[in-house]
Amino acid sequence: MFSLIGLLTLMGGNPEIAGTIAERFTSLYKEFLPKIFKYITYKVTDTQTAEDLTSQVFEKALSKFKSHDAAKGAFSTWIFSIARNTVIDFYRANSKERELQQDKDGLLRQNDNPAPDDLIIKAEQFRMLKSFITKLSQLEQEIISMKFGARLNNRQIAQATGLTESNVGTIIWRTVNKLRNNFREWENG
Amino acid sequence: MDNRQLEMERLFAEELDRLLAGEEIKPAPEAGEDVSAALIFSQQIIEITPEPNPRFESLLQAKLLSELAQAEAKDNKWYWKIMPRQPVWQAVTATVSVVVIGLIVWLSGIFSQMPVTVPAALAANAATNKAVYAAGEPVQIEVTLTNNTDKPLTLKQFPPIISLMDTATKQPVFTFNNKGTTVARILAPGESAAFSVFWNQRDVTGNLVAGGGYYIELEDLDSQGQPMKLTLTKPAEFEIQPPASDFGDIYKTIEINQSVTAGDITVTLKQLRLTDKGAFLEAFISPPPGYNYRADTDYAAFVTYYIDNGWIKYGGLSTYEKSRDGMAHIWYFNEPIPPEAQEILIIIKNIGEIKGPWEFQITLGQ
Repeated sequence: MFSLIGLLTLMGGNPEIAGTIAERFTSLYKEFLPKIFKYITYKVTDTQTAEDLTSQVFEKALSKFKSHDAAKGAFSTWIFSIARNTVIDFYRANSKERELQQDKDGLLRQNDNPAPDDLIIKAEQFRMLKSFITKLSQLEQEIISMKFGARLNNRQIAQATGLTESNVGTIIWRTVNKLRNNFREWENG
Repeated sequence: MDNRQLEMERLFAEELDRLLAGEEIKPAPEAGEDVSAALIFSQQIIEITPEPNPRFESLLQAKLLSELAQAEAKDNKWYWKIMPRQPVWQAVTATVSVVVIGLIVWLSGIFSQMPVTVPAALAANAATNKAVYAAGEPVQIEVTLTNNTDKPLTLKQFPPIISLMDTATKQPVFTFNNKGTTVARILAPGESAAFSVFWNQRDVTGNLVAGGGYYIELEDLDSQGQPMKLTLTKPAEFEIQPPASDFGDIYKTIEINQSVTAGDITVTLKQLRLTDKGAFLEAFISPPPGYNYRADTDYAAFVTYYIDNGWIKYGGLSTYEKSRDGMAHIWYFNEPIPPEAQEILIIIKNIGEIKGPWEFQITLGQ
């Protein structure tokens, strides 16, 4: 009986039943938007691009939301795949601009609006962090984005990258220490 | 790697996940200074990672919900206007309607002479030529569709959609969907249609898939043009063995032996070894001014490279060994170099604090 309702809903789109789809999507949106946004922020040079790509991810997710089969895999895995592919497509489409823009001090340019001092400091720190991240290998960059951006656990990262969970743990440990050393050197002038 | 190192990694991984989940943590004393320092830095990363702008978040949410509502309104068919509003009565009405319509169709027999798409009457069989494959080995897939009824049977799309599914995640890693080259096909009673494809074990991004279990799903199209899964007569499962190494299996070695001197330092690129997952680059670097092979000076070298004048790629820092005569460096590029690539430009940007560059143009000759 439920499947009949589901079938007719998909065919006819009854507003009352559509309301539950909207509620479900809203709940998942609130949970995953910060993670997807932060993951993309690690991968691109500026906030505007991160927002544009985040919008694209959720528009793609919305267009396929009704057909997503929860029995086939978690929503997190699904939407994260969409995010990764969206970033890859962005890189391919903008291959000539992919070389990160750097001013003579090696800092990444960002289009941040004026903000309170503490936010300015944090923005500067994040810019420096990303400049050190760009000096890592591609794999290390991707794993750091997945860990600190998308907040994936090591098992999920291992599934996404094809590495073992143990390898992921080792890479994260080594990479965090590498970044820490670079960051402290910069902070200490 | 010693047990102490493994223990530190384990403690760090556990505490980091708790940090990322928003918990306040206090590393245990036995975790050690290194773990504590790494966690403090991780906390700093979390604090400085920008949050999405609230205005962006709410505007996007409103936009998406508006699009959802518009899509639903567009799809709203006439029969919802006569359906009850409560879901339980909608279920009752829908059930009764289907039973009544089914009775009418059965009694009329109006479809008895026409070709029908009846998934249960179609025997779909998919099989691979082997049960276990080495990493990167082509997988041959044979598909046979047989009409087991005594009436003509229509396949909306032939060949059907073939999906290679990851057993662990139950998600497709690659799909053969020959849009534009498929045709509808009618199978006579008892007739079979067969075809085969080769899968190169690469996913939609072009990367080799991980070792593990996979299975095949087939889809035809229903009367609405939507994908409809075909039930296989038996599961089509196979296994891909993981590569011998996390770095991939070496399939080509290119002897380079090119030297470039800049700033009193000579860098000699010796060899490039290509694997299905990446590449190893080996070099020997002559002693820089003031070199003391016993001293603790950092001489890790950072490299970037370009394949066929493509976009910049980062090879990262080298691992190296010092000797009296100089240093043996090795880099691992963790992206495979495409088999059809012709040239690679390698630039060593710096060796420790010493700025380069040292540039090498290498013909891959593939």
